[in-house]
Amino acid sequence: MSTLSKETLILSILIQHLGEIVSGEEMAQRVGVSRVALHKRIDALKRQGVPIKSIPRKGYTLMEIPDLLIPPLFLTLLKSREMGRNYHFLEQTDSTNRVARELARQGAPEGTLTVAESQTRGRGRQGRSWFSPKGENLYFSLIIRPSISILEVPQITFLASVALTHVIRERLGLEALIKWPNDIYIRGKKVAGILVEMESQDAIPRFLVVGVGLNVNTPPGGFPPEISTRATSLMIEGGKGLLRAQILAWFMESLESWYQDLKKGHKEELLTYWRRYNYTLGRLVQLEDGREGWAVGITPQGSLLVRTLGGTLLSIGAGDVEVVE
Amino acid sequence: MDIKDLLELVKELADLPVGELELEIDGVKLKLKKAGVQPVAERVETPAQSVATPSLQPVSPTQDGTPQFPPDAVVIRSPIVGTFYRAPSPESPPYVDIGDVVEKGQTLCIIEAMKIMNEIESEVRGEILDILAENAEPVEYGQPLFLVRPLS
Repeated sequence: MSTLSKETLILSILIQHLGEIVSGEEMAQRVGVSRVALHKRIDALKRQGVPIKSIPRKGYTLMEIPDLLIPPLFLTLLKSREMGRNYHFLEQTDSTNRVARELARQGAPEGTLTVAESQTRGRGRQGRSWFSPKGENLYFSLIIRPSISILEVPQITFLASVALTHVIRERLGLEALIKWPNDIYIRGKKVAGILVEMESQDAIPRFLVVGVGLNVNTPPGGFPPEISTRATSLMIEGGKGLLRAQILAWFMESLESWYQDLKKGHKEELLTYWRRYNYTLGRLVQLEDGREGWAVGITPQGSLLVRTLGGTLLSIGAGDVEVVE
Repeated sequence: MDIKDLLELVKELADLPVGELELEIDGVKLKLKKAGVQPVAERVETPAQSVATPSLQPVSPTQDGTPQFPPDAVVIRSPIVGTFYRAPSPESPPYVDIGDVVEKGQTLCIIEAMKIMNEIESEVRGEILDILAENAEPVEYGQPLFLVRPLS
């Protein structure tokens, strides 16, 4: 849907030639602007924090990709066709889910992505807050408009958690696992949370907003004390800082590909991967009412089957469970 | 019924969009019990569609066992199995209270299932006559949540 902006083109050329000098003349020609206009665009990118160096009489160079989420950088890295193409970047907002819902109500298309550098009221289930410091992590919300019944919506939750886990495992080599229904854990600590909000009419979802908080570059010791024993980040687990825009672009690509499969009716594969990546099955869990039992399976609708210590089999479709061991 | 039949039955029940399903094993006797309000057989026979679609229905106060609702009220029902929340968070005031006048499209509550927050909107402008479910409690498919008296 989008034609890439001039700034996105400039940045993509500089990233293709990372560490090299690209002459102003060549770049102006490839982008289709005058040298003067090019200079203005380069200045605009510099003002957004991209460390482009101008080398007199030679051209421009970018030595490394900055960890920014500005549209030209994200769109340069994005390979998906639809997911993330309509990109809303905010320096700060109360909650990306709230913004995305507003956009969806105003008719924003499927794949519209709202991203913020920081959230003042990032939230999880039942209004619990989500740690959202500026510039460290990813906080974003994606609009999806699936043609499914409200009863099939849990598929979208699985879709998001499988796609994100896939990226963390395949692209970053970290042992991410899914805790039912859709939290992502690494080595027993939470690295990402997913919160889906839906507005529906007559049992048909008008739209879904898939909100994700992913801890990327929070350093060791960087979490507040109340969550420090339960939370982790990709940096803590992988030992190095990562480019958030790249991870987000990979996630959009991964999600799009799983979503295409789902639209073709390939539900089984998604569940197969969910089971493969799951962290809950086979473990002792505690229900919200305090009962404990073994997580023994999930139903095609996504409910968790728990066999209590008393031998009762429960199908848990709502609420949350805590993994005891 | 042998164990195979039983497992089949359990599987079928597990596939139904219900909140809880209980299987009790007591010696050789096997008893299936379902958490919630309706007997299993009744639930199985109910076509999912007819329960799922009308989240807003005129009240028919004739059926046995159904509460008698005022004839001019509309019942807002839960479109899914989940947890009923009257407020966006435990600290927030509820979306609506009895006696409130709500606009069409106004959020009445959230039903949560699997971390999917489903906002239930009022499909009429009207006065909240009653709230029929408890905050943070599980609700069944098609369970009445609100009684609304339409206002023009």
